[in-house]
Amino acid sequence: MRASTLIAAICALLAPGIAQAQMLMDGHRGVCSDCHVGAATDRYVLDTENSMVVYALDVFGFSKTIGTFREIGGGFVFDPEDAENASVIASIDAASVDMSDPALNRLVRSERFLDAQAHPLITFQSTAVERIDATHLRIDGQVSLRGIAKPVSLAVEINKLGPHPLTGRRTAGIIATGRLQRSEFGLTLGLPSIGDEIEFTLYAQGTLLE
Amino acid sequence: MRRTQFFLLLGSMLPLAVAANELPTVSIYIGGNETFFWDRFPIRYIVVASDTEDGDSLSGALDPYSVAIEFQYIAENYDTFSPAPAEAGAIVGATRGKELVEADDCFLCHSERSTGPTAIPTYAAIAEKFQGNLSVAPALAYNVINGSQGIWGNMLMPAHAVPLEDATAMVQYVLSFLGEGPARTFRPITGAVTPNVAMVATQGPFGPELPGRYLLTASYTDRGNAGEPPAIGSATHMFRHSNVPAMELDSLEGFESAAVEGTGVVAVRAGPASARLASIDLSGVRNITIATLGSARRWPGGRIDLRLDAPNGELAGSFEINHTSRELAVGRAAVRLNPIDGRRDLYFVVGPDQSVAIGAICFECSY
Repeated sequence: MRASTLIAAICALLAPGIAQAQMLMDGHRGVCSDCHVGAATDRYVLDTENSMVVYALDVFGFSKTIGTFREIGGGFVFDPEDAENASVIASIDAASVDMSDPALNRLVRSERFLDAQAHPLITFQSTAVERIDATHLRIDGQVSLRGIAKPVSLAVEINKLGPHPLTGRRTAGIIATGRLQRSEFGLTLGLPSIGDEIEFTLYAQGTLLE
Repeated sequence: MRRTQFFLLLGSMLPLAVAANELPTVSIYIGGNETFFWDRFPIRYIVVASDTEDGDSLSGALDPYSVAIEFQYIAENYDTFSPAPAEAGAIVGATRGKELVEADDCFLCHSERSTGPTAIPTYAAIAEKFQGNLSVAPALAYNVINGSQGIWGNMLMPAHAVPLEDATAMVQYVLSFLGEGPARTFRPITGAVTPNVAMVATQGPFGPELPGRYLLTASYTDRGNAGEPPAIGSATHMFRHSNVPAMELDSLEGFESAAVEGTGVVAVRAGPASARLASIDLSGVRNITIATLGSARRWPGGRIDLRLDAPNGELAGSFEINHTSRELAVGRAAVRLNPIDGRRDLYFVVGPDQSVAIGAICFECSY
């Protein structure tokens, strides 16, 4: 699923009352301007080429297994002078999971785990933002996985805000980390030997919509 | 209505609270291509068995030996093949017993096989004496635990302090040495299996001929529940050889099956025509070779389009066939695909007035 399709789908999910949700498109990337309203005016769209989610979970106590999601779309509204009014919306193509093992990928995509066919999107929408210091935020929100929504808190580090040397466009780079208990989303296969807690990190780069 | 009648009626309407034993669920996940096998090319797999009462195989709740996994070539009737449920236990016992035997002191006296007579029976000799009959396992396990004398000459086997369950598994392993055994070996729930068809493949005019299928089967026998007997869950994944006889094409439109010089082809004297190979996983497949039969006079050739999912579907490539010989001869043409992941229906489409006879379609073959 392309990022623009992901965004259209998530807008439809999160803004059912906005029948005429206007999509601000930027090439193949898009962000829904109406489905989440922040007071700040700087709107960034996630650069799908440079954004990914990496997650880890414990395996039998010996080690951790690492996976990635590379198909991620979304955007955020952020003004450094008005950080508390920032907002974030993001969606991940569940079928894009990659654990560096084709058999394991098929297992994780299957109905035994993510059930990517029935629940193709993993979504996040912010509900509150708290500024910690000049480069750190705490963003609370709802993550929806397999059709179950649960609150999650992200620790966000703002790496850099400024014009990108290659594109000349104003760009924001962030790293967001969080944890969730997979059992809360019905992902119970392998418990307890394969850990319940999933640590995840979003490496994201957003480009200002002009 | 009398009170007793009322309660009888009420009782019949309420669901019965029976402690049932839920059927285990077994799934097989394949890494790489799910349709084809290539000789001596390992196939990666993960088996997941889960049971409401017992837990699941990834959690460590299930004894890994309790999931029986087999990989075998079935030459015919593979569609209806299913491992006999009783075999699950035999595999479990034999594979678990293998570890127990190797960890114990059995090797001090017994060997697996011998070419000559021995005072102490080999495993193969014991298996032959009892014809691999697993029903004798508990009795022989009793002998393992308590020691025995007189069954095999006057040789004394000392007692072994092992639980009956372990001794039974050890005997099951010994009994598996019947013939060319032990045929059943433990396979882990995640690993790889490797086809080896050198002994069964025959060479035909269109390449290797392996009409059977490799079956990867997995079964789990649960522990039962609340007096309910154990239940068995199983799954099978079937692989076909990468050289597919054209006779296995279906949905023939314009094509006809024909027997020529002892082999089968699917042929059309004058197109249009189309034929299908359904639900083919193209993961990892970049080259498809088609073997045709023809001459300058009969089935001289033309173009065969490879289309996806429908006779007028997306064009994946075209085979150019040109037979110029006076006698019927085998020719080959190939297409190179762009990467395509997942299962697709493949249609081989022949245009008007084209005349071709297809013998086989080979996926990622070097011949």
